[in-house]
Amino acid sequence: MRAKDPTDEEAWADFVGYYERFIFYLLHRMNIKSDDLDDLAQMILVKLWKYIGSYEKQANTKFRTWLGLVVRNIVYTYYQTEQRRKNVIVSNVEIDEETIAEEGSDLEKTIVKEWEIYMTNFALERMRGNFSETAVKVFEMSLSGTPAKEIAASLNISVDSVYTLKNRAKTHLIEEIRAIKQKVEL
Amino acid sequence: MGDEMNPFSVNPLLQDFYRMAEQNVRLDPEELNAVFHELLNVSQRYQSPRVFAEGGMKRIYKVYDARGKRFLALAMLREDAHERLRDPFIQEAWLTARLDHPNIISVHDVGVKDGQHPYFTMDLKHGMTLRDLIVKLKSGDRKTRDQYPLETLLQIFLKVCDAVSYAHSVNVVHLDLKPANIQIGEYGRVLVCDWGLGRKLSHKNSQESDPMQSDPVLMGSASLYGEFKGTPGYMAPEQLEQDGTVDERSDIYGLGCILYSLLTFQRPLDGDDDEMIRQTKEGAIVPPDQRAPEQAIPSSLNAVTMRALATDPGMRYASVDALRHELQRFLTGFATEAEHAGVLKQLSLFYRRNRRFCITVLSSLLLITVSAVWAFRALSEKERLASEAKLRAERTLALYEAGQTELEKVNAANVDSIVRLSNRYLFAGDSTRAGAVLETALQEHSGNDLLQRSLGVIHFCNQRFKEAIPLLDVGIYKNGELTRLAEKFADKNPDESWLSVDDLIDCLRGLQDYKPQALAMVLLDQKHRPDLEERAKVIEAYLRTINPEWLDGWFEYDQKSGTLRMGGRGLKTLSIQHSVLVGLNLRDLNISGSEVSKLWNEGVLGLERLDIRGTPIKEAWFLKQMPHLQELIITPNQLSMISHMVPQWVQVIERSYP
Repeated sequence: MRAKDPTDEEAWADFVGYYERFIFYLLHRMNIKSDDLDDLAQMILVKLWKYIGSYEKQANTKFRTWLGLVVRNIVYTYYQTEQRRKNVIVSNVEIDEETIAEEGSDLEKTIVKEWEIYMTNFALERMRGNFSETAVKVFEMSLSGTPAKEIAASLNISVDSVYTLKNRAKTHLIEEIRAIKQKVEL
Repeated sequence: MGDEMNPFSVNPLLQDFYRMAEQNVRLDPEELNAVFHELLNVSQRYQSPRVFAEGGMKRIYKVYDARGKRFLALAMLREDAHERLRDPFIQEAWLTARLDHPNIISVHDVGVKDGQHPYFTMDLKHGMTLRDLIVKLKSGDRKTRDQYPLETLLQIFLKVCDAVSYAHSVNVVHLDLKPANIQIGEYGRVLVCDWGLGRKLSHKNSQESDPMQSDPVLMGSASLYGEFKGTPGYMAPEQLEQDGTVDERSDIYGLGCILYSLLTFQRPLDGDDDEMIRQTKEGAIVPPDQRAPEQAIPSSLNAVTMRALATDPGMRYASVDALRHELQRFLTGFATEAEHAGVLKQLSLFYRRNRRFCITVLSSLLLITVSAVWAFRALSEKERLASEAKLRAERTLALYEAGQTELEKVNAANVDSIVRLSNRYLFAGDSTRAGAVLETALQEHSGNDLLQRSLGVIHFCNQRFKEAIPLLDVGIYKNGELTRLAEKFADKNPDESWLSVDDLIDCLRGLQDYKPQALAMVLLDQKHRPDLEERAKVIEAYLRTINPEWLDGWFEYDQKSGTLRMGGRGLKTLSIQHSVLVGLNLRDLNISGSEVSKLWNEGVLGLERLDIRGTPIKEAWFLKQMPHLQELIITPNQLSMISHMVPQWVQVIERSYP
């Protein structure tokens, strides 16, 4: 995979394209204050890029687990350093030394979960561009629990069409997620 | 943290699908390629048929084509049709399918339903047939008449000629050309339909590698079994003979019939079938200009029609192209061959084509005349009065004669047609004859409101307001807007001289609801207004009157270079019936950025340069009426089918706008 070759400029651009938004999203979810956001995101991207060559796919280590680990460590180290410099008001940050101390901690789980949510949403967003608008709407409405009858009425289509479009959208979404996973996850 | 900082709003409910993607579930290919499977699963291609026309032995349905996802027309034989009609029916489909021309209806699919009912599908026709249009035109529907002036009808006819000419080039004749078989739609769409009587001619040019030539099936036997061999009244005489040979010239006759109907709004022949057949054989067709004198059919078109309708095929045009060429000549202002144009006609056409040159020569002559008149001012008062009286007498006599002869033609009893005739003169700029016709008629129908009113309008347009008031203010027209205007401006020219520019502009503003009158007024005024800058001001005021939404925008006239630049939102119409720009001696007209969409009447301007960038003009037929045009400036891709439409003498320059 090209992302593993750190000499390739194009690969770097691709890499940033895939992960930058996720990292911002993640840091935002972690309640990192905005002053630090840019610095930290940049640092994580560079470190990921550096470490990515050392990632070897193993049967029991999933990419997102590895990703969660790397990000957690960087964030943790960053705050430790900053705290030493007295630059950070600890109470502002929801990172608890105890929770991030060991592997498989809540923070790591959170990162994995956020990656999954980010990825699936990213897939849906991409689908929007080249899939029937109505089908996507049907899918989103049924996702939030709207009854088929109501969907049919609000979009002015038949109930049968609601089921057809929902299944069609679901299949395409799964296909899309698979495609993205293959590209982005090592 | 506020949501507004969130760079990416997410739906956490989607997370489940990540697991699903991870599990190696096989996805249903029907869901993944739903459209492909939908097409694959269409078992019934033509659905929900609805009968929408019936003719001869055929029935036409509107069907939904589930494969092409569109509506089509499907033709089928009627249940009661004889089995022997199947072959001719299929031959019609094949014959039409082979004809590939934008003005010929397209056949999409030919097949057999349930192993016994042959069918074919074709374009679903929108709009109306030429016959419907002619009926509407005949009924005098104002809107239709405005929408389809003679030029537009001739353009439609030229497209029919194109289609037939193409068919002849592949040795196919139609043999049933009539207005009911021509479909017209929006965007200039013209389709020649119903090739059921069409056949392949076996003669000549067989060395050409023509795929249709080698197919004996297409030789056509439709008429052997067909119920009808054509339509009486539209069929050529040779089609009526037992063993008459039909060929391309039989279609020329059919085209002649169509042209006849377009000019007169009537069929060439009337009566029952036997009567029409007899008349066809005898060639007893009344020439269009006698059949419909009220249409003022140009003599050249009259001659062209009669030549196409000659009883002897040898006397008709030898080819559709020859006929087409004649009409083209008419549209571009040359004498047609059929007219056998005399010197006077040639001269008048020469004037039409070379207006600028002629105007130069004529104005020199005028200058000489004026100098001469100046010299004669030395004549004694007595002599002057005497000659004036003589002139007046002569004028009265001429007026009377003009009225008499024209009136005889229009059957003096009919006031309506008198007014119409008078209007025709008025809008051709000849107020003298227009007035004379009415004055003569008033002698017979003294006190007739409509005649008086019409005469009043002529005086009004001639700016003789004082004379106009008593005539305008009659009957149901009492205290009307025109009377009010006449009273207002009667004070501005007590000696019945011509209004000043500003007063005239003021008057035109009041004529928003009287557009034809405004036109006549401007046309007449221009004759008496030698100053071109003043003319331009009047014309601008007129254009603003007929384009009430043209509130700002620009109108820049340069007399020296003969350039006029105008445009802006709301400028939609340059002319109604006649172009008032004639008086400006234009070489260069720039209407870029206006909303003008038609230039039918501007052929007379003798333009050399025309800029239509940013206008909604997409068709370029009008160019054929502009024989002097050297440069046409458009935006890239503005014109559709550019190579076909633009005459060779025009150089097209593409430039972006603005």
